[in-house]
Amino acid sequence: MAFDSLPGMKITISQNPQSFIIGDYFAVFGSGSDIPEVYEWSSVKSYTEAGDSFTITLLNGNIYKLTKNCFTDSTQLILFRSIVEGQLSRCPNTIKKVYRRIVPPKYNYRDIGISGNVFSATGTYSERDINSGSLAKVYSRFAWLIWLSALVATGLALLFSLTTFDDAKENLLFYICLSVFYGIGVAIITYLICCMRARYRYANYVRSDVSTTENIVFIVARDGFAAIEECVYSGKDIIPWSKAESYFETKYSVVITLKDKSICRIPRKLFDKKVWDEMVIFIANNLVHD
Amino acid sequence: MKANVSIESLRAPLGEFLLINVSGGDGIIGICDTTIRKGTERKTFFVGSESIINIFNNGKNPESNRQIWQTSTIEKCKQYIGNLFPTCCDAYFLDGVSFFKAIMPILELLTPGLYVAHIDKVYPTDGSGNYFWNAYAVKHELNGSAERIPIVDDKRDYSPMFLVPTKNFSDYNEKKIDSAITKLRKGKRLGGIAYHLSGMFSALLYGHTNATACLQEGTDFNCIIIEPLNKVIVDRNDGPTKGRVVAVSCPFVKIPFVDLSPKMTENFLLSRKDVNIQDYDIIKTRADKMISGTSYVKRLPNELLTSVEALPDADMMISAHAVSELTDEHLAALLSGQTKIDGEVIISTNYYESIVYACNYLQYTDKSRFIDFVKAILENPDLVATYSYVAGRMKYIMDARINEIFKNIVESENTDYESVKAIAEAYLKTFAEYTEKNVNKFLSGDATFEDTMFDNDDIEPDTYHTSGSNNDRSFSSLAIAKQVIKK
Repeated sequence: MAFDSLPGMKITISQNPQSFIIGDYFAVFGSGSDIPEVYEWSSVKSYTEAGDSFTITLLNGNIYKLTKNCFTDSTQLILFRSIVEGQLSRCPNTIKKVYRRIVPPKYNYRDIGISGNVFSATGTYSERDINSGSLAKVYSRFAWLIWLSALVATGLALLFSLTTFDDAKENLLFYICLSVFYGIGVAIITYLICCMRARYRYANYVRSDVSTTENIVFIVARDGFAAIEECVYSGKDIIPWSKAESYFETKYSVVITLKDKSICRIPRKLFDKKVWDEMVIFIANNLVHD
Repeated sequence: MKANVSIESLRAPLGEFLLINVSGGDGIIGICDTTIRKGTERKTFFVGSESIINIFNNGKNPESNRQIWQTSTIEKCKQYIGNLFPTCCDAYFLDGVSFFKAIMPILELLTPGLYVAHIDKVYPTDGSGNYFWNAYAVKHELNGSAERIPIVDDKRDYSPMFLVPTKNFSDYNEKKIDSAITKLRKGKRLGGIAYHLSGMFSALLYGHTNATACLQEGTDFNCIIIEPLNKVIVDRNDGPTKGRVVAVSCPFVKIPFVDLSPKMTENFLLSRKDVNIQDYDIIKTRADKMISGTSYVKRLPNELLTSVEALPDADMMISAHAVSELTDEHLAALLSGQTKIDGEVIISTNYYESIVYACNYLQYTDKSRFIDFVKAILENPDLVATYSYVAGRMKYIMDARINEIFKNIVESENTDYESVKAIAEAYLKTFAEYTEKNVNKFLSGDATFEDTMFDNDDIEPDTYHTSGSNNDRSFSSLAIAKQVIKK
């Protein structure tokens, strides 16, 4: 299974004297106790990563919350969630919720090796790589609303002009143009709101996901694709194409999606133009075949 | 880099053992996951970058039997281990070095985690009546190789007793075997070193020739068995610990967390089963290959093959570990068609399964009662469906009472025996040859009289050297021959 070769880790929460060992099992040491409560990962009912914490709820009702500030550094946090999500990938009954994550959750990965042609690159995300994807997604979802608001605004402006201004009928062409400009203005404002929302989303990502500052390994291959933090990349973990449905390309990135949700974002800046074009065609072909 | 090793000497129901904590180190010897097909599971026993043995599960069910086959030989790992295995083995068995000192150099090369080491009797077979050394060149499913043997309780201890070779069969050398036999006859202890793979199977790291010599001489072959302590027991009963992992386990022993030192507990929890191995990619690639150089087929001596057939097989061992006890009352109830006694299930609610398990259990634990039981089965016309199976179990035991039973079957005109007459006739012929051969062997002065006892008037020539507690009550045809001559 994916991420099984990562070493186990121990985390101690100083505020609440508890220690956890994360490995093939989930172990909790109470304060001052040498004998742990040990659970198989299949005993986990739900796993949630929120902006500031991880919550693990067990089938027996015990809830364990690990705040992100109890990790010594970003590598430890990435290691933690990679082991946990790797283990939970084989627990289909566990409810997994991950919020505000740029790289794909690790439970999507399979240890199936990488063969054939591979497009790969390593680098960090920049704001525009993320925003372009977010914006494109928002735009694709709300484009009709933008144009509808423009149309409605134009109509309202024209109606307002006709009923308010006395010279409206004589200068109809002028007022039509004015209304159209007004409608365009409303559309631009709506679009800017979308941009602001995209920036807000990015700000949330930056605040809650350490991956925004980490070196990420990007892989596109015959068997699947991957965007994994370099510190936990083993060279064999990959998300099969069957986990993806479609993709869209923006000026700065390509975004692979499933059920209208982004799974993986690959920045354009890390690839030569020729390689990039080949890779996008490769992605398209794989998604068509699946 | 060598690993840090700490050792505790403990006692378990099956005997003394060493509890070993290995941390750090390069992890030269171990088992790693080399699965290539989704939905299946393949583990590979490796030494250095060489994959030696594959263990394949065609699914994910821990209760299904594994396919086990050799992919390479230990001879190719000299650069990692040199002559480590023979040196350690001889240090313990021949030079009398203490157990933990003798095996310490091996422990330092293991992948991190907890281990158990003990010395136990092993059988050089594949658990299906085949000689071990040439039985794993082709992948096939092996009974008793499941990680969790279905009918055997999770908490039941057993020592993995069947062997998988790590040397190429082309190294089988009769001169070396004769030399080992000579050592045995001089009273030297010959043994081996094995690493537990799955279920009842262990990889024999050293001692192939010794195992064969012991088999030919009819003496027990003892092995140092190293078992990774990496399985767990989950409490499924209602109570405060329901759903929790309460103990670590391997076939030989189950240890609750409360009995482990904090350091060992932590190391167990931090060590992962699929360790990060430096040469993992090479091992995975090499695991796809089959062993080469076995095309030279050697003819094994008939005596060796007969001895192997007489050893306990996986069915017998599973039954022996699945059944706690069978009193005469239980057996009488089974023979009368009952599967329960006083409301409690004797073995299983399936009647024929109960008969089969009872047969195997008795064959392993008490030969005399086994013969009584099978005789009663063969006299019961309601159990005609089990006749073939029962006759199949009886045919490897050279015993005058079984000979008598088969003789009656051959002479009988009862049509129920049609299905077993061929087995009975073959047995009578084999038994006559066997008796004649042993008498000649004795008269020519080649035979030894170890383990021969007289405690009843029955004639029970016994080749079944490993039949457990009832060994003392059996004696060989050589002894009978001696008695006859004395008279």
